[in-house]
Parts: sequence; structure tokens; C-alpha cells
Amino acid sequence: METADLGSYQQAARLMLLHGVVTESYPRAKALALVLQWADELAKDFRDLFGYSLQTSARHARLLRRLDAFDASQAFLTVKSKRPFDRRRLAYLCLILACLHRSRVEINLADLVKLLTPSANTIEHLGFDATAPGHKDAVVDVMDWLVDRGALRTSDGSMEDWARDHDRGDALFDIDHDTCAALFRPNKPLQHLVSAAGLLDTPTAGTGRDPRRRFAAQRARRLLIEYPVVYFSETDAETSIALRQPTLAEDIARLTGLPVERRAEGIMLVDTTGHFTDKRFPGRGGAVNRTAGLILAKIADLREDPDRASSLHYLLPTDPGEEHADLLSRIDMALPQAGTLEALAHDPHADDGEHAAEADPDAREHEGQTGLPFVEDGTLEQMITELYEEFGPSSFTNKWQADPGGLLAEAVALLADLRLVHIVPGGILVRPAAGRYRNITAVLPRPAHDGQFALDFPTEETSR
Amino acid sequence: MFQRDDSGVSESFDLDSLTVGDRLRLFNFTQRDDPVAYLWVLRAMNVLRAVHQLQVHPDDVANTLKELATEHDEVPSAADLNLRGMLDNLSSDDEQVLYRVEDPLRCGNLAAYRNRQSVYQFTEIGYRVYRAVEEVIGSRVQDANLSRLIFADILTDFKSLAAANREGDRDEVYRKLARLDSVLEDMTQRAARFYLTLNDVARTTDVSPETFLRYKHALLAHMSEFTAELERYAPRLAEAVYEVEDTGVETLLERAAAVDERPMMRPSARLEDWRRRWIGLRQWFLADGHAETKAAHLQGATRTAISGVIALLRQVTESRRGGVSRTTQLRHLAAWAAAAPDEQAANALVSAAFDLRSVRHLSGAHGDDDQISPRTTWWDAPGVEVSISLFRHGKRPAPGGPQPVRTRRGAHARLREQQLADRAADREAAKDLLDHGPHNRVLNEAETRAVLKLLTRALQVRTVVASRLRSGTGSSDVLTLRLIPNERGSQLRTETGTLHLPGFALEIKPHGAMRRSRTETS
Repeated sequence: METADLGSYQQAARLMLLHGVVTESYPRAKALALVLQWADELAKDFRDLFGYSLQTSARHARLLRRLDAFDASQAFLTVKSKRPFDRRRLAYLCLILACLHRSRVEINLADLVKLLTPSANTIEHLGFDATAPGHKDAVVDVMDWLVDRGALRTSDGSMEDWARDHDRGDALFDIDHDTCAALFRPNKPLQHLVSAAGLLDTPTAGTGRDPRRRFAAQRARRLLIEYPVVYFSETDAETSIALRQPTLAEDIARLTGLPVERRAEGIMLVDTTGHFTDKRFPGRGGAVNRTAGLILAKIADLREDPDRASSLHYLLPTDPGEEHADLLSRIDMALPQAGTLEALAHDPHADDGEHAAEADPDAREHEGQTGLPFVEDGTLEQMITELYEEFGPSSFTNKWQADPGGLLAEAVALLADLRLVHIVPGGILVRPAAGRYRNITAVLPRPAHDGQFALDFPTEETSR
Repeated sequence: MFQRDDSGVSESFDLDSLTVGDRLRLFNFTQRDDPVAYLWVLRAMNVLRAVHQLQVHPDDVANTLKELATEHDEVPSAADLNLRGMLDNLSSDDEQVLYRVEDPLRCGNLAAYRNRQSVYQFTEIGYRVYRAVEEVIGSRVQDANLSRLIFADILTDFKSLAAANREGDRDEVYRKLARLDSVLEDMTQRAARFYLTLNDVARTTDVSPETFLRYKHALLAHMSEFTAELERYAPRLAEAVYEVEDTGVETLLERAAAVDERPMMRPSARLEDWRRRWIGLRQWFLADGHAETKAAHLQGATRTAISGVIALLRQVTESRRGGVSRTTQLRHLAAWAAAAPDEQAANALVSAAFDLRSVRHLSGAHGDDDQISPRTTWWDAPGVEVSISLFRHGKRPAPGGPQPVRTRRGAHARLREQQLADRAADREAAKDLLDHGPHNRVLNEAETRAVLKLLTRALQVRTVVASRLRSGTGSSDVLTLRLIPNERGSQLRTETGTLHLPGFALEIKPHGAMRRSRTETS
């Protein structure tokens, strides 16, 4: 490939990996043209590197991933407030897509709700009632999400009118069936699952050494491209060997144009563009993001303070496999038995048994785990109190001014999503990559007593 | 079709005197306890009517039922039925589907006369009721179609109509006009039925996707052929209508009305009826003002129907892939997500099921990551530099968007001069520093500023490893300032006071381009 074109190719690759689906209007105009320009090369590279498949048509491009694990930190976000969908919104999204599937080229909100209501009412604890608080908002959020992704286009009326008065207000939508179909692409028919584990990718190609190694390499690349940090201690031996291969970083760096950072504890892809991520850090994003950074700096201080560092406890983190199993069991708890086609059902446990037996001897053997510094909740609370004292409550925006506890919880959750800390009962374990950000205090000017240099949070970014 | 006469004069010699309520009562038999038996009785009556046996005896009905029973299993046995009672019910004052007359045959003896029975006959309206019921019951999906072959006939008929009117052939005018009317009526009916049937198919396709798939090609071909044919004929038909109009519509209608054989209608009503029919015909192919022609409507409807069928096809094929339809999968997932014990689990499930997720990465890169060994831990390796403005203002230092061009050149020039002067002074101070060193003398204000600036940079980037301070560097375009750990520490004397640097010594060296130019000159 020409060096001159490499930038455009990498941009297309990043777009696809970031958004998964690209349409004529999502994430922005011209994005689709860029992806289509490189469709063939990208499809080949995604397949070779990750086993992902890229499907393109003139109207959309869709990256079909193969998942190694469920990720509790991934969520669909509302378009305006960027809050994660709750269960009602998720269920409505599914039902509305189902209703759209049965419709012709256009539909109005009133009719859609007429279709939605009976199907929502058949689901226990869901239902739809236009007069119940929150139900209409949920519909509007889901519709917004679909409009944002180009699956729908508002041709007349507005959803606000409908939300205000569903007897008079209404909105008319054009349906892009292609995009609707592209959005929902389960890799297996859902009724064939007796456990959500069936959605995950299981190695099927052979059991020999070479295929296994190849699969480990693929998994290593997926880990590196999908997650903020990959710790060697959390992967099995084969994957961890693959992660240490120099070619791995070269491949990924060539695909994305981003540098790979290797350290003793793990490896990560560094986002130098500031856009190749769904949760930016450090970066814009208001008080939570910045508080998270300051907390990291406080923790680093604590670690490096010779007086207090000795009192710090080091604990072994829980096995990530166990955590995943816990998440999976929580998901499976909700599996509706009624709709499952047992006969066709794919039983992941039967498969797992075989694979586990073969892979166990070396794959399950984790690298020597080292303890991580444990910071108690009390210490964290003390830190946030200090921050509020140092910078003044007003610098943490109106929303959080009176709620340091809430801000702390959000910031810690963000850090956990970024794999920089690990939430455990009673506190957090600080993961190694948090060390990257220990300088944040250094760049912060020490607040003078007259209040100068206090954190200056601009107001326009505070409305989160 | 249902024309009401506004004149208030009852038409047709008052024969159609039944009111709507009376007519609806005719359907009462379908609501009785055993409507199927009633239907079979009427069918038997119809069989007899077909052989011109208009007045029938209950025994005749019983016999016919027996005959029918040999062909159809569901025919009730006449012995089980109170046939006479049923026939009486049907002919009661309320229903009047049948008309009861006394048996006209001579009885001959008293016993027979006492035992004399009635005979029954369909009333005209009753027969229609029966036909209507049969039509509803017997209607079949298979019959629904749009006929594309009809257009050629219509065209020929219009041409002959024009010719007949020109020649003054009244009978031919009547025949052609009547035929055109019925043909178009038929077409409307067909189209209505076809699209209604299509809707039914769309509604019930979950039940029988196989049937639909079997016929989908034929269906699509049928519809597209119909539109193509309609498109092809529409202009020629419109022309033909104009041609007929050229021969004189009024004469045409008068002629038709004159030959019209409906005796129970006043001539003016007949003329009016024909005028209405002609306008109907005309509207089929000629646009009337802003309204579209009916042909165009039909074409539009067909086009919509085609897209509907394709949508249906999409659903059906989706559902065949993997045996479960997308719709049911989505419903299944909705129930699953709604029942999830917590939001996180629900989101993890749905994003996995949609196969939609996003990459997540941390930012802040080292400028020279190559120099850091991959064996160092994250805590020992230098921390990344995070821009001050990012944390102070929440903004990345960025060039910002293009600013509007302002034409205050004078102000610009002054500012620029000021800036150049400031920078020249800075450079001068830096060079002085470089030439004379920072120690053992009193630094003037400009030099102090330069040193402090670099010191700030050096302090920002230095790292504390295992509570040991390492060196830090700060550089400008002229010089590099290095902080070297030094037990004695150092001090800088300035015009305003002494700056103590415990644990560090300052080293100042030329930087980059400056160093090269200095080595060249020396």
C-alpha cells in the first residue's frame, strides 16, 4: 500500500472498529465513502487479524465481531444525554426493531406504539403505558438512537410533540430496512441458545498445536484492539505468549496507525487521536473524567509517600474467569425458557467440556499473579474530600457540588471500565496501568491560598 | 353502485320497498342455532332451482339433501332436521328468504287437504341473500388476480363504441357501453380483492411462509406485468376515450338510454344512470382536474403492493434462515433483557446479541516510547505527559477552528511587534544565561524569567521513582536546563531574591539548533 494512502486506510479501519456500523449518516456524512473506498482491504485485514468480518453494501458497512467474553462495561447510550440504556430501553429497542421489520417503508410513531404495546405487555414487568412515567421517554430515546444511526429518518412531525401530548403530536419516519437489518446481527439465532455463552466465539478449528496457537494469536489481537489495557496476568499462557510477539504490535499499529505500549505487566494500544475510544481518558468529559485523573494522582501520591506506602495492603485480584462466569450466570438467570428451541439449541457446556479438557494443562495456568495495592473506600472518600477542599466544591460543577460521594462513585466506575482499577468489596485494587497517569498532579499547579489556579471547569461541559 | 334518487319519487313502481332493517333481517338464518343446516337447506333449494323447480315441497328438499349427502360429508341428515319448521322459519314474516305458498295441487280428499302442505320458493331478494352468503363462504384466495389481458379488450371496445356512435348504431352503442362498464367494474373488483388478499397474506404469513415462498415469483411477475401493461395501454386508452368524446357524448348517452331495456325506470333516470357510468369510465383513463386517473391510482397501488411483497419476502427469508424469524428473535431478546437482574448484565447481553460494541483505549502517549524498556513496570516507567490545559480547563490545546478574518491590521502589527520584541528579549536573556551561566552572579529580571520558565517545565516532567527524585529537563529553542540531583543543592541569586534549589544543581546547555550553530561558529 502506498504510504500516502496509509493514513486514509487507517482512518477507515478506526472508524469501523469504533462504530461497528457505518451508514450514510452515521457517525457522520462521508464516513461511509471512506470505508467503502477501502472495503476490500479492510475486509481482508479484519478477517486475517481478528477473524472479524466486514460486510459492506452501498448503503452501509458493518463489522461483525467475534466475542471472546461478555463486557459489562459496554452499553448502548442515549443520543442526547449519553446515559446507558436501562433494561426498559433495551427491551423497547428490540421490540421496536421487530415492529419496524414488519412495516413497509414508513411508519408513524402512533402506529408504532400501537404495534409495540401488545408485544411489550406480553413481557412481565415491561409493558407500555403512555401515561406511565418514563415509558414514553424510553421510546423517544430508542427512536433517537435509531435515527442517529440512520435506521430511521424523521420526515415529518417531531417526537417531542408526541412525548408532550401523544393524542395530538406525532412523527413520521422513513425506515431504512437495510440499516435496521445491519444493526441487529446476532451470530447465532437467539432461540437456539440455552445459555448466553453460545454467543461467544469458541475455537472450533482443530485441536492441534498450530491451530491453537493461531487462535491464541487472534485472540491476543482482539484483546489488544478492543480493550484499553491487556494484563498478561489475566490471560492464559498461550495468549500471553502471543501478546509478547513483536509482530502483534506491528500488525495492529499498521492497521490503526496508533502506537503500542509494552510494559512488564501488560500491553496496550495508545489512542493518540483522542477519538478511537468510546470512553475518553484523560480527556474531555467533564468533572467525572477529571476527578478520575485526580484520584489516580492521589493514589500515586499515597503509593510514593514513604510514610503511608508501608501501610498499603497488597491483595491478589480475583480471577477474571470467575468474574466473567458470574456475569454470564446473571445473564443466563434471565433467559426466557418459553421461546427456546431446545431441539436446535446449542449447548455450550457440552462443547466447553471437551475444549476445557484439552486446553487445561497449559492454557489455564495463569502467570504468577502479583498483589495489587488495595485502597479502601474510606481512603477514597478522604481523597475526594481533600480534592473538594483544595479546589473548592464549586469547581466540580453544579451537578456534583454537593455530592462528592456520587462523583467519586462515577469516577471509580470510569476507572474500572478503563481497566485501571478493579472494584472489590470495601475498596479498589489499583491496576498497574494506573501508573501511567501518576503525573497528573505534577501538571496541576498547586493551588495558592488565594484561590488562584483552582480547577477551572467551564460551564458548558458540565451538563452531563 | 348504491345510487339514491334525490327526487323523492319512489322509483321502479315501489317494488323495492324493503327498508334496510328489513333487508338485514334476511340474514337472520346465519345467526340461528344451526346455521350450517340452514345453509344446506338453502343449497338444496338452489339445486332444485337450477333445474327450474321453483316451488318445492319439503320432501323434495329432503331428497335433494340425501343426494347432496352422497357427495359431501357434512350434509346433515334430513331425518334429523325439522325441515318443515326450518322452511317455515325461512319464510316467516321476519326473514322472507323463502316465499311460502299453498301447494297448488289438488288434494282430492279431505285427509290430504287437511294434511296439505306448503311449498316454498326463493324470493328474489332471498336468493340474493343466499348467493351473498355463499360468495362470502366460498371465496378463495386463488381467485384474486389483476387481469392484464383486459386492457386490449377495453381498447377495442372503446374503438367500436366510437365507430358505432359515428354510424348511429344504437344497439351497438348500448352493448359496448354496457360491456365496458361491466369490464371496468370487474377490474375494480379484482384489484380490490387482489390487494385485500395480499394484505391477508401479509398478516398471516407467519403461519404459512412456505406457501408464500412458493408463489412469490409468480406474484411479483404478475404484478409487474400488470403495471407494465397498464403503463403501455394508458396513453392509448386515453386517446380512445377522446376519440369517443369527439363523436358526441350526449348523443351517445341518449342512444344508449333509448335502447336500455330496463322497463322499471323512467327515461330521465336511465339517461342519468348512463351519464354516471360514462363519467365513471372516463375517470378511469382521463385525469379530471387535479385528481389522478383511476388507472394511475391502480398503478400506484400495484407499485406499493410490490414493495409490500418484497418486504414480506425479506421477513420470510429471514425467518427461514435458522428457522427463527428476526422478529421473534428480537422479542426473545427483549424478554431476556427485561428480565436481567441488573442493568450491566442486560447491556452486556444486548450488545453481544446485536454484535455491537466499541473499542476503548486510553490516551496520552510518550513521545519517545522506544527509549523505555518493555521490561519496566508501569509504575517505574515515566508517566505520560498530560497537558495542563486539559486538566485545568478541560480542553485539549488545539489550534481551534478557523477564526474570522479581521481587518485591524494596525493592531495586529503592533501586537506582532510587541511579541517579536518580547521574544527577542527572551532569546537575548537565554543567550546571556548560556554565555555566563546561572551560578555565581545576580540574574537580571529577564534571565530570571527564562530560568523560571524552564524550571517549571523541568519540574513538570520529572518523575519520582521509589521516592527518589530523578533529573528533569526543560528546554526552550535556545537552551536546555537540566536538574541534576546534587546533595549540596544550589541557589540562584536574582535581583528580587535568592532561589534555593535543595537537592539539585542546575546545568544549562545550548539546545538543538542553537548547539549546532554554536559548534559551527566555534
